[in-house]
Amino acid sequence: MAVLSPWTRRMFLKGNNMPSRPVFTFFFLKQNTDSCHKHACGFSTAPEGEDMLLNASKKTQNKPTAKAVTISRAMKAYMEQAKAYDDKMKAEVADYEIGKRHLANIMGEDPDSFTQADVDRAIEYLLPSSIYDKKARPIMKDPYEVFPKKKAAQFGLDGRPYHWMYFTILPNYYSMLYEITWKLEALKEAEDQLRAERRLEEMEGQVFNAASSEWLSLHALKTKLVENIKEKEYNHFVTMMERLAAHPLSGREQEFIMSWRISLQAEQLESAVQELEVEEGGRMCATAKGTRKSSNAIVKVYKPGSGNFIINGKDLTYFTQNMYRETLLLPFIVSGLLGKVDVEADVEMGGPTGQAGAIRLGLSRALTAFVDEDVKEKMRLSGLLTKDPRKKERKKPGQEGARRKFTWKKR
Amino acid sequence: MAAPFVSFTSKALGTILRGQPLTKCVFPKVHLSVYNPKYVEPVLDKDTLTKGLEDGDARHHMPIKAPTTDLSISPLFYDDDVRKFTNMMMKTGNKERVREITRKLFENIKHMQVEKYNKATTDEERSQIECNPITIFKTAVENCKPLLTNIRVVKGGVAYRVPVCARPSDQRFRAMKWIIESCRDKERRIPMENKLTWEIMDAYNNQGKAVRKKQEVHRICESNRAYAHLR
Repeated sequence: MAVLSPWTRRMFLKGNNMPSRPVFTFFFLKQNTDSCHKHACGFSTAPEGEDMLLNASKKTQNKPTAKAVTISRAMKAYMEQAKAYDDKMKAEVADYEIGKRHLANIMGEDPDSFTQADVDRAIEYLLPSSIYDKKARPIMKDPYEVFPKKKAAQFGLDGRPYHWMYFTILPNYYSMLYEITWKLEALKEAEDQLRAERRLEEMEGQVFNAASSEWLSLHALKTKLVENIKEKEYNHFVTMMERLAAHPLSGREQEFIMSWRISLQAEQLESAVQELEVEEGGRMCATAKGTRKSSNAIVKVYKPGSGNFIINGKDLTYFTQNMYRETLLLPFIVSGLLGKVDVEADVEMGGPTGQAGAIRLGLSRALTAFVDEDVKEKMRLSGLLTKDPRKKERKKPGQEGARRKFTWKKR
Repeated sequence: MAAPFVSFTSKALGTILRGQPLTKCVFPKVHLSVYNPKYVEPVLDKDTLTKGLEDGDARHHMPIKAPTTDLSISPLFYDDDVRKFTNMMMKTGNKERVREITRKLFENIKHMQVEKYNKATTDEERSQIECNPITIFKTAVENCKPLLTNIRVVKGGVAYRVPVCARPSDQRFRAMKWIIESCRDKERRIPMENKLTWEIMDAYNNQGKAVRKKQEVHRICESNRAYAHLR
């Protein structure tokens, strides 16, 4: 590695897909490479949040010196840790690969084409578990998914930190706060200017619309910044961000604000996209899945049709109660396609309420393929494209049911 | 689901333990819904849906809750008051049975009114007879709705019954509850649908137990009007 030509070296170092194994030989190249520090010492890829900080850190890099390179104690300790981590991971990966092959043999499948999905299936089959929490059930995953990633070294060979906010302990977090503040100041300045020039009408309608999204959760923010943020700091983040979002010109910073928010409509809008298939005879068909409670349904809608409804090979009498038949009527009334399409639904698991709900969701999703945007929005507004997240609430220990407590007895 | 409970109790306890007086201890609002608080109720109103919401309506950008199984906008099969009434009558989740009772109730009313209609001799009499059971039901509920209710206010250790304006949802709830309760009190041998038929026809004519109950509440409010400023 040390004998790479400068050109190849640069190409290699700039690439985002850095190998996750440590390349300690890089340290000898330090004096003639400027941009490599961030990644060179890393044994895990740099987190997203750090990209924005990269520019700031570059400037503070040490100039190449004529002195012999002395490695600081901090760096030495870091290198030892990194080596230990890497050795552990190597062993884990080897174990994982062998385990995967064993598993494939047990299941009677080809070990070479055995994927992670196959592993999950095999584990579920061989070690069935009825533990309520899915996280507590047996798993076999890639070690890099199981063991938490560690931050790459934040300081150079001489022990000097790259980041100007290194000593705040949470450099990414605090530089984000800085960014928010400066953006807010810029907006204020722009507002002042508009006011001074009496162009107030330009300010109208430039407020950020917060209705369809919410701030990243504490957990998501932690992952994004790769820093251990406490609730107090998270609340500070939300306060600052809300101050920015409430500014009359905050729409100008839409992109920045949205990078710290998560959209709530994504699920509804995504599910609304359905592919149309054309069958023989020019008949169009859309297929969609729906779930409710523990029921799953696959619904096929054909157009043109005459209003036929087939559920698991039966007609609408599959549901003996009228309420469930009326439930299935709702998507047709909203979309205005009653009597114009044929429906075939396969539904399994659960009781009639769940099954009717699952078919209704699948049906609504499939119907969106045949209607225009206006009607689609109407279907969304009537909640037909939302998956009902309500499930049976679990029974709690020490209680009679999910909420009900045992009758109180004094003794 | 357990999480909100845990945080709720620990927070409340913390507030108490810190030595604040109990009266000032404000309990945090517990969010028990599975939905994110950003989700809003679905638009289930045929007129609004056909017309479409206004451009500036915030609901265009908000995530929407899924309608429950018994919600609909079908003008043929669905009426919100009837749904509420059916659900209020339900015991231990036996919806199939109460829906059957409601169906029979409307059938009985229809039979009764059509019989009257056929027996009527003049056109004038006939025009007076309402044959739509849903209209009769709605008018009956309307007749039982109280304008005022009592709330209990403790002031200086004395509890006062203070009359206040009833909210529309509260009015509907009270009216339906009185109708159902008055039928539950009656003879047990008679099927519920028959008792309901009589009660609703009585209420339609501004008579019967439920209407009397409403008048009684109004009377109490009237006698306690001196406390009205306490609310």
